[in-house]
Amino acid sequence: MPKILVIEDEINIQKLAAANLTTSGYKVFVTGKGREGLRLAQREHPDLILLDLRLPDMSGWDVLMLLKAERKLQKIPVIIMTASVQQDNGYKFPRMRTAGYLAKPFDLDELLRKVKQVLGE
Amino acid sequence: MPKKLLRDKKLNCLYTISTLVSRPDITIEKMLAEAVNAIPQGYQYPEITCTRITFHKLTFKTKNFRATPWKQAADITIDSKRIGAVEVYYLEPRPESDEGPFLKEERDQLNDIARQLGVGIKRRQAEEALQESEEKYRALVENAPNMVVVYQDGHFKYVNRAACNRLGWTYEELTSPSFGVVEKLVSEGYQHIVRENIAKRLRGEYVPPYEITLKTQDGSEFPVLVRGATISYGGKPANQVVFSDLTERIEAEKKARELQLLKEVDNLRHQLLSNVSHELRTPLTSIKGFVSTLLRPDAKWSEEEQRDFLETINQEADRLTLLINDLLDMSRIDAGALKLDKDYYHISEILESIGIRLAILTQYHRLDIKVPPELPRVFVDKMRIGQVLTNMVDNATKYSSGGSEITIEARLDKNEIIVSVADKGQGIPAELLDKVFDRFYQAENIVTGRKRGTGLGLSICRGIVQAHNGRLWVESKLGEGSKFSFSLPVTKGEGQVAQDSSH
Repeated sequence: MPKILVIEDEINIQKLAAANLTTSGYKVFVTGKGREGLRLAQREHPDLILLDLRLPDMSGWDVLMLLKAERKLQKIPVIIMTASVQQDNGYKFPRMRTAGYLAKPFDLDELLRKVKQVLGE
Repeated sequence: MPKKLLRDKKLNCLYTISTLVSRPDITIEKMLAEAVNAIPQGYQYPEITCTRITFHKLTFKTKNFRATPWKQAADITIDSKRIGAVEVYYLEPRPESDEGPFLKEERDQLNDIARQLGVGIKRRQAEEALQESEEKYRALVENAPNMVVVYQDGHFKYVNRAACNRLGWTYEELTSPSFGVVEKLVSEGYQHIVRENIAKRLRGEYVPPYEITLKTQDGSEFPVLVRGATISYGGKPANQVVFSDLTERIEAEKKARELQLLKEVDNLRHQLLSNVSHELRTPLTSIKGFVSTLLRPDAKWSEEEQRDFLETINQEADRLTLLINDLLDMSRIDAGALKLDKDYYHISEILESIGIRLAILTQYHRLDIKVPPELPRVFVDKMRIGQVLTNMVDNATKYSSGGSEITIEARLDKNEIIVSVADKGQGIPAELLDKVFDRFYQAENIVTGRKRGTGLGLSICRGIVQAHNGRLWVESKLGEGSKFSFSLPVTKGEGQVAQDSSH
């Protein structure tokens, strides 16, 4: 069962992702904080990370940078979820490859399709 | 010719030359032109004597000048350097030429004349150099863009053109002893400073540059920087003062500040738009997401799950409504278009009107209300002040743990009523105290680890209180709690207490 880590501080979006991904047959871990997300990534080695850019303790870009800096975690694909108008911040870090973007409000179908695609199913 | 007469002639000639060279306003050219004609008068036979003086490229000759073999000459020197010569010729051989063409005394006399001329030229040259430098300096000062004046004995001894032009008075008016420099030129509020500094400078004390405002002839005022020095003028100490007009600099600074402000406003607007968009998208994501979730053809949700999803949709729709209301309030406040439905209320009446909401909000806290009944009433919009109180209590519950105390207190302070809401929560770090009023700023909640609300609440509260001519502020101690307070003015006629007017 593929493991997905959701790092998102909006409790209802956490719930949304968890309910749908679990039903689709994934094992889901959720957290609202970047630090906790990094800890979970280290412990669980998820197959995919869904990452929000606005987190209470650190920016999603910092989480991404720290993931990419760790040998064991850098290969994990990351899908960025954002409600920000400007997404171009990512171009400041061209080497930080992401597996894709999901602009809020996103289509549920789009989320599930992207997840499937990244996990190579 | 008797020796005595000859001696007189010689003395006369030398006297003429020496007066000539020491005449104060004479030029070198004039001095030599006159000297050349004076020299023959000192000789035994002036009628047949002619003279030539050369100085650099200049040559001066007597009218009857003709070079002859009967010649006598002396060099004119300055600091042992030859700069010219005086030559004397006899137009015909001397009648009794027993001692050669010239008398011995005449040779000495010519040397004396040449020496005198040398001294005279040297002095004139020094004087001319000095005059030239003085003229240069004067021209510099006269044409300087800054106002330059020399002040002595209570009036201006000199003012330059810039001063006349900028101040609007003529040179004669400004330098008149009866002008009254300080009274006429210095703006009222600065006159004592100027008088003090003039006195200081005359005592020889240093006065650092200072800024004052000057008045022009037509009464308009302008700012200047005053820099002065004590100089000697006509042998007595005087104030030489330079006024730099600061009008342009101050204008430019003002323009730069305005531009900066515009940029900040623009940035803020941009920030606001991006924040609003973010805040609107978040609940929309949940609503859209859960609707799609319920519509998923491949999933079968339990009744409990379906109910939960629908409740979430409901919640998020409420949040969206709240956000839109807040945005509307904010734009009304910004536009100064907040409509207030004012009447006289006692603070406890306002609390009563929001009693149920407060009870729900504080269900996990202990609410303590300290509102003395004898407080005067305030002239306010009950709904709006209720909104402020609700928001403050809501914040208090958000940032303090359940079971802790929340206190609403009202008291009279001079002619204001101060209402405060205090919690025993996490408190706010000093560096964030100002930030809590920023739009969309939401502090991290250490109790729930989550944020709630729109981030506009306190900004709106402040706007509402300000629309009532009050102030809203916060005091906080980290780890001990926060206390948000606002003031409402009590005006005359509202001094009656609530009980008196129960209808």
